[in-house]
Parts: sequence; structure tokens; C-alpha cells
Amino acid sequence: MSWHKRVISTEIRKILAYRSDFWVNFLGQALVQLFIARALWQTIFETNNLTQMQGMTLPELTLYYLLAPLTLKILIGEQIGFLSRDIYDGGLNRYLVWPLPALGYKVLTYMTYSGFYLLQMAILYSIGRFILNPAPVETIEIIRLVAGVAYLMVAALGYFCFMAMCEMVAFWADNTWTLGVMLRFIAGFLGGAFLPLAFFPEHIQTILNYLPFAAMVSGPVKLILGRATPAESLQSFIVMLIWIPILATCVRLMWRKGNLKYTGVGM
Amino acid sequence: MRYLRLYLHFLRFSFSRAMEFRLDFTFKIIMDCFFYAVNIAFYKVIFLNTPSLAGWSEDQVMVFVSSYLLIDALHMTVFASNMWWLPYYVNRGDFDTYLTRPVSTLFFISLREFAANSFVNLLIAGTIFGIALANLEAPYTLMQLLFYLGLIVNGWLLHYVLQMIFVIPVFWTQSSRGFNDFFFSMGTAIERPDLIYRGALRWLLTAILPFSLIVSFPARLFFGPTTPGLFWHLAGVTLVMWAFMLFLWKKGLRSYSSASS
Repeated sequence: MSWHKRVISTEIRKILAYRSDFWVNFLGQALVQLFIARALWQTIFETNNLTQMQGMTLPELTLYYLLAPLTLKILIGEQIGFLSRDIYDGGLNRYLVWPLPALGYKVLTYMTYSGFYLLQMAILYSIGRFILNPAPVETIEIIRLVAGVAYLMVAALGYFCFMAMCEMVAFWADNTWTLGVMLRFIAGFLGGAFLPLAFFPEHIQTILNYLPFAAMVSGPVKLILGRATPAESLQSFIVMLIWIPILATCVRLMWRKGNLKYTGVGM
Repeated sequence: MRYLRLYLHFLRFSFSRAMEFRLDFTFKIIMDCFFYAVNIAFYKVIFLNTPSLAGWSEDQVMVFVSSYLLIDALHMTVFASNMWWLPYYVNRGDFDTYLTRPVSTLFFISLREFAANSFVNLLIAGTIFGIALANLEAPYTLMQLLFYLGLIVNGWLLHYVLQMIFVIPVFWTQSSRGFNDFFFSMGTAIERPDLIYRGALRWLLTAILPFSLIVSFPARLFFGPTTPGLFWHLAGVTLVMWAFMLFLWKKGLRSYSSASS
């Protein structure tokens, strides 16, 4: 168990090493996205003279836009290149002498980043929640938050599988960061981080509900905000649980095949 | 003339290097196509829920969207790779090599890498822009179109200046990842019409960090009515931003302390 703790503390020190980066990232990114989204939707609400759209008021939509981009950040975890760089540079060699499994180490570092961003989200959500909805916190909301945190960490594990597959293409191809960026576009748009899925046409929503992206992004956000019934949240969680073993099997297969291609002196 | 010849050499090297990594070349083209598709789909979904946005109809918004796709493609083709590498050069001390060349360091560092794959995307973005213009219901003259294209070029250069302003702090902070990520977040502001912003946010995005001037102001000048105030605001802020970037660059060069700076 000791190597787990050491890896987590090393990664946290890495995240905090560049303090200006950390603060610009923490406050800047989240707030900029929020203000821009709020301005866009405020204009749409006023143009159409509405107080609700797709069952959401402007403050509710604002809270959604506070949580959705942060959720995507939690899912994305470690930056693109967390595995492909080792494959290119021959860095996987060090796991021959390190007393820990390479893939296990990568999962743990990735999840440390996700956990750290989750903490950021908790702070920003607490502030946003009390500004936009000053009602006192009820027990049911605390239960939702705890369930949402657990949901998010499982979702991050699912997204890790997607990312790991993109990264492992490095065993065969020269450059794979573009795959990570494409995945981010797809997950962001089809998952509901850019636009709540309720605004999509209904037949498209039906399809999206069976894909892993909506279950990973929209699912936990709706759960935390109380915008999904327990049955709906359970359904999207189950969709994700069905996808994760499929993705994990693909990761293991690619890892095994890729290791046979690995030359140990950089690709 | 010497700089033009040098740039032609950059182009030749960039194309031959791109052709060495064909799969990477293809992946990058597909990635940008995804970016275009997501941006267009975003506004298509918005217009399923509203008949207009900030006073613009759907066909006008599509011209606006295709304009920033065009600017993005131009930026990705000419400047983006160079901007990406600059922090690494500074951090590892590789920047020394660029300082010793007998040409302007800013020219060399900004234009050395030409992204051949993005040149293909530039053609795709140009086509999308052409289609959006063809579907625009309001009439426009050739002069108006040329004026708009000129403003798009200005927007492209302003985009470069703004990104440089976010990259140059690496001379002091040692890592520009936070600033870089912040710049990309701010990039969302480019993709929205400026008339949605009010109060302090509007002031911020049209004067201090003028992301809204990249595409939204040119689009407003194109769709009309053309107000001289809007044009002079655009021209004035662009000049101030250029001057600020050059000032920052010179300060940064003075702070650079070579390897592992």
C-alpha cells in the first residue's frame, strides 16, 4: 500500500510545483467558461422572453455550466501524453526495475489528478451554490453530493480507459495527441459539457443516453444538481458500468499487443 | 526580401517533415475537422431553441462561425506550432539557439514551423466559409466582402498577438501551462458574438483582453450598419495590443537567463 501513497503525494507535489499555473488554472479557466456561458444563455432567455428553457431557469443553467466543464476536467485528469511520452522515449523501461506495475502506476497518477480537480470543483461548487441558490443545504442534497463524487471517480476511471487507448496507439503511430484532443471534443459535445443534452433533439438524446459520454459527463452533473430522478441516475450509472469492462478489456488487449511492439529504445 | 526567402525555406522544410509522418498528418486533419463539426453543431443546436442570437439570424451566425474557423485554420497553419514550442525552448534553454541567429528572434520563433496539415484544413475552413457566405440572405457588395476579408486577416494577427501575450510570461514563470490553458479557455470568447457580453465582462473582452475583436467586431462591421466608431475601436485596440506584445517580448528577452531558466 505504501507505493500508492508515495505516488499520490509525488503527483500532488507536481501539480502544486508551478503555483502561478495552478492559480491561473484554478480560478481563470472555470470562471471564464462560466461567465461566457452565462452571458450566452442570458441573451437567449431575454431574446425569447422566457424564465425557463427545457425545464431549467437561468441560475440552474449557470450552476450546470459551473459543474459541466469542471466535470470534463476531472474526467480528463492527467494531461495528454501521460503514457505516449513513455512509449516514444523508451520510458517504459524504468518499470522493469521499479517495484510497481506500469499500468497500475498510470491509473493511480491519473486518478490523483482527477481527485485533485474534484477538490477544486467542490470549492467552486460550494461558492456558486450559495450565490445562485441561497437555500439551506438539506440532507438529500448531501446524499446527492456524496453519490455524485463517487459517480465522478468511477466516470474518471472510464475516461482513463478511453484516454489510455488513444495514448497506446503510440505503440504503432508516430504521434497520438490528436486522438486525445478529438476524444475531448467528442466527450465534451456528446456528453453535454458544451450544451446541456436537454437542448438536443429528442431522438438524438435517446441515442446519446446509451453512449458512455453522456453517462460520464451529464450523468454526474445532473445527479449533483438534483435534475435527475434516482432511477435516471441509476440508469446512466449502469450504462457506464456496462461500458467500463468493455473499455478495460480493450486497454488490456492493446497493452499486451503494444508491449510486443515496444523496442525499449524509444519508438 | 531576405526574410521572404527564409520563410520559403521554412515552408519547404515543414512540408517535407510533414510528409515523413503521414499518419500524424492525417490525424491532425481529422482532429481539426472534428473541431469544425462540433462548433457548427453547437450553433445548430442553439438555433433549435431560439430564432436569433444577439440580433443575428442563423445564416449570419453561420458566417460568423465559419469566419472564426477560417481564422483558427490560418492561426494553426502559420503560428500555432511555434507558439506551442516557445515555452519548452525557454524552459530548457534551447532558446539560446534562436537568439544567436542573424535574423529577428521574434520572426524566427513565430514563423519557423509551418503546419502543412493545417494548410489542408485551411482549404476546408475556406470552403465552409464560402458555403456560409452563399447562404447569407442579406445582400453584400464585393467591396464589403473584401473589407471583411481584410478584417479577418486583422483578426488573425490579433489572435497571434494575444496568444503571444499569454505565452511570453514563461520568461518569468518558467512554465506557461496555466496561462496557455487560460488562453484556450478565453478562446471560447472568440466563438461567441460580442453583443452577448455586458458590463465589466464586455469591457474586459473588447478592450483589456480583446478576444471579441478577433471575429465578432469584423462580423458586425460586415453585417452592418457600418459604424466608424466600431472600426476605430478595432484599429486602436489592435495597435495598442501589438505595441504591448512587443514591449513584453523585449522585457522577456532581457529576463531570459538561458538553460533551465
